[in-house]
Amino acid sequence: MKAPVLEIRDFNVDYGLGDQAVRAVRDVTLTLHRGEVLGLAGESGSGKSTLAYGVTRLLPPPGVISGGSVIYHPPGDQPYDVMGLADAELRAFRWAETSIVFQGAMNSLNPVHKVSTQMLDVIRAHEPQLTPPARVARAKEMLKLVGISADRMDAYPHQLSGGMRQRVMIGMALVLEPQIVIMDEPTTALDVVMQRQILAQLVELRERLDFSVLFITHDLSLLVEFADRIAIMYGGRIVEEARSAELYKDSLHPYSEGLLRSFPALRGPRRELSGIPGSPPDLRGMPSGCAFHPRCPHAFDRCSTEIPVLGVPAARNDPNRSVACWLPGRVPVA
Amino acid sequence: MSAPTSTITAVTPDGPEVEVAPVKRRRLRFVANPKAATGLIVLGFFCLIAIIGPWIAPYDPSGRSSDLIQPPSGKHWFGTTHLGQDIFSQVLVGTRGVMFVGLLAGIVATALSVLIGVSSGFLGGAADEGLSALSNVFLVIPALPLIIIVASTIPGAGDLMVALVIGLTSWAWGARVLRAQTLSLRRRDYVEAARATGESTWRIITVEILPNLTAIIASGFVGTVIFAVMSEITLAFIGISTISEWNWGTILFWAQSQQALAQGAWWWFVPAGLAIAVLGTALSLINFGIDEFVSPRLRSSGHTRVKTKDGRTVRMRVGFTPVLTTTGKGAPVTPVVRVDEVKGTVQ
Amino acid sequence: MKFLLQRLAFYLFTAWAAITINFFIPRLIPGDPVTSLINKFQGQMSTEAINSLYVLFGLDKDASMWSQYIDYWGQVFRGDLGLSFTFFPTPVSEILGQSLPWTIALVGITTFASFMIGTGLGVLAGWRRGSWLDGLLPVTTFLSSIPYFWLGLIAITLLAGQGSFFPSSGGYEPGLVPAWDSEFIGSAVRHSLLPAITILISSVSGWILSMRNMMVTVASEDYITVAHAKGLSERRVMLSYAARNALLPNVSGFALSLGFIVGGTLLVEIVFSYPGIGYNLFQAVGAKDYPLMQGVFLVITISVLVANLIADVAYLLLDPRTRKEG
Repeated sequence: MKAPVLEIRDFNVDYGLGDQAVRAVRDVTLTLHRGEVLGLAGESGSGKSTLAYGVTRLLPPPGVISGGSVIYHPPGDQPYDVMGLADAELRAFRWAETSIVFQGAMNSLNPVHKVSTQMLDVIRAHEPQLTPPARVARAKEMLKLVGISADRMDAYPHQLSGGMRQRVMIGMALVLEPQIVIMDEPTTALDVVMQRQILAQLVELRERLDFSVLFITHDLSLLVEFADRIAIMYGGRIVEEARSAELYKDSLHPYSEGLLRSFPALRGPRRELSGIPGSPPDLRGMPSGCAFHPRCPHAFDRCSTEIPVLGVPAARNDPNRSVACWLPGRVPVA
Repeated sequence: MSAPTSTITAVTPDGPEVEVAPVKRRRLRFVANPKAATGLIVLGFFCLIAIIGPWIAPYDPSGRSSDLIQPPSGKHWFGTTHLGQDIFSQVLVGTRGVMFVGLLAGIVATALSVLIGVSSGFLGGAADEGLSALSNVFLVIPALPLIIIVASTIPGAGDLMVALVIGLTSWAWGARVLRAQTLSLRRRDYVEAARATGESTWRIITVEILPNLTAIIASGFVGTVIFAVMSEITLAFIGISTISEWNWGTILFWAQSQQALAQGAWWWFVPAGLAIAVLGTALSLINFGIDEFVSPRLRSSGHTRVKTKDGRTVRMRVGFTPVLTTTGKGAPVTPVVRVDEVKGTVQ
Repeated sequence: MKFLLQRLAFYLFTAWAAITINFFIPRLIPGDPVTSLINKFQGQMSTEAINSLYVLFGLDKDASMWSQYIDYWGQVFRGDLGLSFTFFPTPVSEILGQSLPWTIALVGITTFASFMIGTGLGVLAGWRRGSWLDGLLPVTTFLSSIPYFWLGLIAITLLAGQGSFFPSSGGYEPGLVPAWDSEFIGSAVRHSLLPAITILISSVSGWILSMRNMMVTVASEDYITVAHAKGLSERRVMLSYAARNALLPNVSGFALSLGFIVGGTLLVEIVFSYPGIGYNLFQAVGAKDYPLMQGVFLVITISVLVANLIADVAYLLLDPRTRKEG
């Protein structure tokens, strides 16, 4: 294990204020380490995207961050809390330290500006001392790294294919060589072949540029291959966290198990696909106790009354794992 | 004669979201919109005056008296004209003509726009091309000059004729909006499903499509009424429609032709103009209500300032999510070192 | 290019339709507006002039509709729109030629200015939701509900009059001769201020509102979030990302509503006795001068079509996606 680069502590996000507030992310504590790919998985509505946007303070109204801190560790400098940054500091932090690759590159690129304009404005905003030719050179170099030829610089987004647009977005995310790249379903809108290509390229780029990745997807099988560690979210909480191989072989939370059974694995032994009965909880009326208990095949009395604590499961005494479940052997060691 | 006030098309490219909420509750929600409610109340007031105006008017609007060009007084609330006519009575009696023309022209134009817009959007192909070209032509040709030409060619055009002329020339905007909306509705799954199961075209249009166009039709109707009222008053003001029937424009026509301005007789043209402005505002408010009803994002957000626990005020805005509890930038941050990390490579 | 050619074809078609409507109006509607006028001026008109009116208003009942139509077109192409009765015996085309520049200067410039100002304010109102600009909306709504001509009357009452800086009527000082010198231009500008302000006040709110709504819609687009995530300055995100994209539908809306707006603004000329074609129209209506009325309609329609074409070119320059299709 390496040093942490981003520590999310007791993080809470609400939609709305006062009585109308709906809590979408609850007491999430999660650490991203330097050079690591951390996967964040869950169904839609589990709070995974809300968490990612909350961490970068990009949630649109009525989203508010109602508690917790996000500690960023710049290389060779004092750590600081992203939640405490003033607007100008936050602007300087964004993209230079943490960039984002959004879901659906179709709408992430501004249709009326050339690729070059959109690449160069971010360089100019963060490194104003760079001369214009140096900026262009930097942008071209980055596009080359993601497999876009330099003559596509002057193309408009509508002139590029979906895969190319996503590559451009990835190139743009890396152009300032940030420490952290948050990827929100970066390949969901693409066909399977393109997904594989882009993921392979990401692996290569990460080795070369050594950034950390927070990878958000509902496709757990993708994470099993790509991520070092995986955190599973349900109802705004993290319910299980483990190394990806361990999670795949030996998932402890019934919800993780259900998720694994919802997708065919790309490689490795086949599993029976069964999915999870029921639907994700409504944030307005969360079930009492463990939010998953109405859908859980193993639920018993305690599950509907007490919220399980996330901790190292007694049966696996492995400090790198944690789970929030009342099933025997999964209750945390005291 | 401002631009059409509704922006529904532009705002919801995919059309109003089809909600499952009961129709009754949605209607109530519309009335609960303060803008729409204000507009409806004012509109109701004018409708009432339109009906009872001639009975409650204290004088005959055309009746002359010896009080020539008198400023407002207890006897003549809005003053008198050069012939000693009571302006208050003229405004009251004139309301009927204004509302009649506005509503009738609105109905005619809306009916035409639904007919042309929906069939153009639903039929597609050559019929669509032809009908769209027709509505675009009517949209681009300046409507008011056209109305003036037509109305002035008809000898002695009364309210009914004026309403018909306005209605027949101002349907194009609505038709265009409805066509776009019908096109998008036609591609929806449930309409496709209805077609696949062999429902008749007529039934698909009336049962599946029209109910989803209600908001747009209503907004188009209100917009046309605004335009019709303005046009009618303009026609009367420049002296095209008969000046024997009273409406607010006729009052302004006499005020203008008798040099009310030069005589300082502000009361002659102020009440009628204000009445037009208030009616126009009421109708615009109803349209804002419809717009916001269809696309809730447009509501002017009431609650944009958030009070944090430590007493600061932060604004909710796109791109900078407010943080309710914060340690502040200066606060020292102690990294949490977890057990497993101790074994690793912590600096 | 294809886009422009398509639009050009459409405007030619519309021009054809407008002229055809003009041809049919006096023929289909009962009543014969012109004969009495011709009789009134009997003896003062040349046979040629009477003939031209016959063609314009369909009085030569002997000819077939088709040959009437052909003759009509021939005359329109020659620019022969008949003689004006109000300004007898000046040809309509000559009157319009004199007044059109005034209208283009007043209505053209103020409509454009109103669009720019309204769009600018709309950008701010849409970007800073809940600011004081939101409170401005009811006021502007009220102002835009006032008929232009009535607002003009009020403006004259309050601002113009004896000894005021603003003249209450006309396009320039009565004694001056139109020329390109500073005295005349100064006078013309001073005379156009009040009508221009009137048009501006009543038309600006429509643009504020539509641009505000467009900004609100665009603000939730992904690329705006990306722009924020990129750490760009607030100004850059607002102008180069949000406003730049919100402008597109507003420009096409501008083109579409020109016909509505121009109709209304012409009336301001009436109140201010401004020497443009709107005032011509008023004079023509008062004197039942049908040739002049029809001429005004044609000229307005064609001007609006040209303005539309310009707006289309602007749209073409603003939206790379339409450019590509060419």
